[in-house]
Amino acid sequence: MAAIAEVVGTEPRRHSQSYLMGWLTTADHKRIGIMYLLAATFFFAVGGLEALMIRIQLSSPGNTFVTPALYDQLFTMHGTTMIFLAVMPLFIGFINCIVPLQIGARDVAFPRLNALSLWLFVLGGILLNSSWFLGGAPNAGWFNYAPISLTPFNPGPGIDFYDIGLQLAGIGTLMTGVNFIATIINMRAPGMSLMRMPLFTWTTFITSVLILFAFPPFTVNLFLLMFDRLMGANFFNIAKGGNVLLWQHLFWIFGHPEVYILILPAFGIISEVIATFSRKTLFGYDSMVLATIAIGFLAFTVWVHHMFVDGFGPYVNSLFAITTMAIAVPTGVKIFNWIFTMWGGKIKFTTAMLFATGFIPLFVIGGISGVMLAMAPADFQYNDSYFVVAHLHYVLIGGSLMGVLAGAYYWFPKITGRLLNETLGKWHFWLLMIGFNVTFFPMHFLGLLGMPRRVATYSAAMGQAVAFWNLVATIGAFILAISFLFFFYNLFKTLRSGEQAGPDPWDARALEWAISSPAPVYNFAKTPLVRGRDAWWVEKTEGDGHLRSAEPEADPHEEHAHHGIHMPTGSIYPFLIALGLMIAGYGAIFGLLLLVAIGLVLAFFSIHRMIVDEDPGEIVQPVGGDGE
Amino acid sequence: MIGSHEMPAAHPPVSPEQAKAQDNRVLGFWIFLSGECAFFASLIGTYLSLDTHTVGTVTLASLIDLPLTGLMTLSLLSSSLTMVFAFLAMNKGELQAMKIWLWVTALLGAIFLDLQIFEFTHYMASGFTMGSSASASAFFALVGFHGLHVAFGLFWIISLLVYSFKDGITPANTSKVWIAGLYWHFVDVVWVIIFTVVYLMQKVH
Amino acid sequence: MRPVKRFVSRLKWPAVLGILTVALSGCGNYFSSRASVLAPAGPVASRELSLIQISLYIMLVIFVVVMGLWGFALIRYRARRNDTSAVSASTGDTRLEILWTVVPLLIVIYLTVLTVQTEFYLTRRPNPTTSLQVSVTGHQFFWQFDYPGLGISTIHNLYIPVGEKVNLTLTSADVIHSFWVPELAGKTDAIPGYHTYMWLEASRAGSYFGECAQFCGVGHYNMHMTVIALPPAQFQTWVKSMQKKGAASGTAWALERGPLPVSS
Repeated sequence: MAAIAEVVGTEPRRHSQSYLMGWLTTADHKRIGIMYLLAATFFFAVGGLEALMIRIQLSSPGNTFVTPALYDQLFTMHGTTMIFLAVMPLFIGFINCIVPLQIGARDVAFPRLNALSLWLFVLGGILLNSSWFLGGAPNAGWFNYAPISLTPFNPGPGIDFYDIGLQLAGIGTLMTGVNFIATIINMRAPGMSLMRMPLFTWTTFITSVLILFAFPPFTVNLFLLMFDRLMGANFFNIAKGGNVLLWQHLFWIFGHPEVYILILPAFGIISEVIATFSRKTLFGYDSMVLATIAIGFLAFTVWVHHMFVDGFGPYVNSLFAITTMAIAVPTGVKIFNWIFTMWGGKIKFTTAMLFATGFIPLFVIGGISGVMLAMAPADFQYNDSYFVVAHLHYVLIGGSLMGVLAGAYYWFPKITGRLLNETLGKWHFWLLMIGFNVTFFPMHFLGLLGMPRRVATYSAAMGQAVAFWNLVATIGAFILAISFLFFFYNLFKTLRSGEQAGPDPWDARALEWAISSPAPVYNFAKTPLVRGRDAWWVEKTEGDGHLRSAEPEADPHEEHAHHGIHMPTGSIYPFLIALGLMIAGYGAIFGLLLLVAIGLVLAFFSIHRMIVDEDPGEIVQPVGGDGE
Repeated sequence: MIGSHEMPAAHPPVSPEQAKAQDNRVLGFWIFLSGECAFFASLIGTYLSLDTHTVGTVTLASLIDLPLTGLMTLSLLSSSLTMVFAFLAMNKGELQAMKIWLWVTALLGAIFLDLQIFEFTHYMASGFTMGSSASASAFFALVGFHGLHVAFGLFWIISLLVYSFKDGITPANTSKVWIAGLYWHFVDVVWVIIFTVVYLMQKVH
Repeated sequence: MRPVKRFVSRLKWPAVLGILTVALSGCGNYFSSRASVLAPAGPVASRELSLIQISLYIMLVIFVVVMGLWGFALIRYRARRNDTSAVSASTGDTRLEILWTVVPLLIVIYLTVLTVQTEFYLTRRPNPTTSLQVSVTGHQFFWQFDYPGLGISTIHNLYIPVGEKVNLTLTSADVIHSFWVPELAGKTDAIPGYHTYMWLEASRAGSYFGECAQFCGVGHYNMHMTVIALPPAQFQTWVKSMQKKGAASGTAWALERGPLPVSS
């Protein structure tokens, strides 16, 4: 962290604040983004180790590396961690670091709420993972279907950790959604009309809308489960009139938009990176925006395709098969637009661009298997088999994670001021491509050969082919893991002794590249005037290579001294709210009412202070030359 | 480059982020309320899917006392009206009148909550509890979450009343009152839906 | 380092080497198994496989076209040294964009028609009065089969006559399970509080391996069954012998894999 602070630590701190308090109280979107990225990278490593243990266990038939009981916890925590604590917060980290810069804003609409989102995610994630040491991790899958998640079948505290950990992290995510919708609507610099926004900002906007409407059903579902487990309610208890499919409906009404929450930001990153390194403006910008909106809308109309084998009958299944397949059309539009952005350009194969171009074949394979899965009668065979495991990893690694990594190599210089090593980056890319395909392509075969998901082991009697492809997949998983060693070493090395990036190392197009790297605490010394799509490129090619200021001219000798830049100040209360709720969560899990009370008092006291306190803000003097 | 030659008028205020701060709160709160709609929609959907699942235990229909819930409805709806009076007073700059109307609003909200606690204890004494049937679980989840929203609204309004008007009516605290009022009206609207779906429909059955 | 050592020592090296040797020597068959979707033995699984095949072929064509464009763009338009030509100024092309919206739409419509046709074929229930009825109940972690008209119950093994449609009504005694016999039919979930329906038919006699496909707890990996398809005459003989066995107790129970597994 020290190395990061060294390059990012431009935030003015009150003298009384220690270094640690500076990070705990910060409301600076860039610092919050960095903490999101750090925490999510940690959880990603944890989820990755869980995946390796799963693959070791499945490397040969009848293996006893882990017990079935431990195996169930491993796959549950692998899925839950990767989705809620790794990939989604990695995107939120980039969104925090980059979107305010792309729209020419000084910060997000609600800087302190942003800090609250961060701490709810971090402490919720810690609470969830602490289950390993406090009575056993959740073991009913990331989808946590009732009734196997109910007390009679699952008396340990694992499911309660799942429930309360995700509740905390989920509320944080919901607040992020609210924050970025408001930020993008209200905080754009003059001239940054909606149809001039960079694609990453657009996909962030639509993602935020999806979060806003998808997370509340999940929140409700988690509450219902909590009531059933901790307060004797009967939502899912069929003996008392409960209905187990209620969980599935509410879960997938959330869960399917969640899948798009995990892919839309990647679409945005890929659009930025491909346009930059093809040295062309994005092909078909309008249709890209429309396709994003269409995907966001359709995301809410397809949830039953996760439930094709629930026996709802041909009418329901046909309807949801049609809506699901319809999503292929706007997604296809995006793929063609990316290819035609490269068409006629001058493609520079930096590591970021390698990840962006590598994204296309992997995501097309994932999309193709997605259409095949949407065909309900065929899904009767694919459902809950390794075919689905293959599909979802092609979409989530080949899609989302490739987007994250393209973004990491692309924006690392903007976030830290240093360029990641390109040689190590290329090793990372090629090993990842090999390892990923070797791991997950055989899983298509495994599914068709009759291997169900979530089996702790399989019998040698399943046949040689099943054993063979499983072994291949395990070998691939280790290659994939090795590729990430290159990445982590690269991060470490770059932070210690990386090449200085300068403001615009890629000769890029959006506004974040117009200011120094890392961005100063106030982002733009003067609010910029946006004069076109690809706002920074316009200034470089049609202007004089400097941003125009949207602020009225004042006497150059007096302006800074009198006005300065008004910035929000930090606050410890967001952290204390999250901490209070975390304490109350532990109290609820272990039935300690006193702990619940202490936690809630702390949380409500802090909420109260957030309501009545006025943020006085502070005046920051810009450093000469920045952002001019 | 599409539209690169359109030059927008460049006259924003000196500190745009300050000017926008008030707008942000109102806009952000509307956005938050649309998320709240999804929250209550999920709870209402849950209730509708389970409300007949009483498995032979006490039914809600046998317990409902419409005059009581009518009184609750009346107190909550009139609290919306008094909230409007508080806004009107605020707009005229009458600090004392605004404060009085806010206290009246809080009082009406407290009456609603008090009646709801009475209603819940009565139901539970009659054997209609969280654990008695799925129907009862769904009732307490939906109506209880609404009650928690009312309680949070009270906490909010009283927090503002006690701490936020030391310097009279200022641009900063008007937007706070405005948002608290928005929340209060939203909670009222949700109650109208709950009153219809949960209470009136039971009588129709 | 200890976990690594533990992993290395725990790996079944002889098994690993054995699998690799067989595979690399080319003797192994990489695409067959005890329960393969690719080896259907009845009309339901055949219909599902043909849907899988048609969609796969269409998708392969799409993949090749997209990858062709992608590969061409990457090679043709990579930045070259000493190339001073300008990049294309194109920002879009309405005709192209309509083309790649409409063509996928047509493909999707075609796939939709196939899907709906197959969906209705597969969920059309056979006549309950003329076909065999079996109630399937999932338990942690075994399958129970009841033949209501015949007074027979079995555990683990489902006996059916060859060439006849069999009606299955599924439910669960505890958590959600999923009934999957890949060579005969795709899955249907067995859900507590619900009765779901499916039918299947075996075209030839034999034993078909089946499993639970919905995660149902710590014994999920081991929740297997066998569907035994007998020629109609032999099936009748089996029914008679079972009924004789059960004449004394009322219901004939066939517990063919030993005693009931302990349910946790």
